[in-house]
Amino acid sequence: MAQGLRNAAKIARGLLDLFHYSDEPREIIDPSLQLTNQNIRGAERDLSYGTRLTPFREEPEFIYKPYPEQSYWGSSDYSPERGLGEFVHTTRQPEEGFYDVSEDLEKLYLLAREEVMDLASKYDKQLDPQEVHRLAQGRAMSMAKDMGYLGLSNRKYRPEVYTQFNPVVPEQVGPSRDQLMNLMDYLRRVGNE
Amino acid sequence: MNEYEIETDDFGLAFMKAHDQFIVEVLEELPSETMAKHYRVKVQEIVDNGNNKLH
Repeated sequence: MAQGLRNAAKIARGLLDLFHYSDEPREIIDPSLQLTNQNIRGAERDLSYGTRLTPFREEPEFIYKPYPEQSYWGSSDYSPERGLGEFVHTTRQPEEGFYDVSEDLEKLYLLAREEVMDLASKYDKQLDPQEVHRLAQGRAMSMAKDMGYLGLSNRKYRPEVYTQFNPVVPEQVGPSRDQLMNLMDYLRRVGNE
Repeated sequence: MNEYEIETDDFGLAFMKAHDQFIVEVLEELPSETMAKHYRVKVQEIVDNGNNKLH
């Protein structure tokens, strides 16, 4: 009954319980550590790379690197992939703080593509469709960050996955979702072992 | 109309599918052990006669 009332109050306030997974407990979930995960490779890692727009050896060089660092979080419906690590960290955030890319109501992706194409034209740089998309996606994400959103959601296609741009101090930490405890209690317990 | 194949994650896929000028077909889901899913997709991008993107 009490749990039901707590859930009802939470839904009324539009709060999301989010879970971050790693291979060790962390006091802060720092987006700058996202790419240290050994399982991130290929296109996922490429997304964060910049592109030199000025010709080779021309100074000053201009590297366009719009992708914003972000950490990944799952909702309570998310089943973690094998490579994520089993340590769980939780936070609670307002749902309206996340920009829904599947609606893209601010047309950020279109604005970002225009910016990318304008820069390519300005620097006489040939970009293939893969690069245009990669840079535009990163720029659209950074525009959402600049607008003050906490992170991104994808409500139509991956409603159980969110990202956050800023470092997050987790409310609870534990070796599994069934063994969560307050971060301070966890640190005390680890300190005593 | 421009047509090409690219790789993207699920956020990139959603950004494109949010707009009518991109018709996106998922060809293949690529292996991933992280929270981001990755796909190879075929994109049909509608452009106007002046070669400007439609808004």
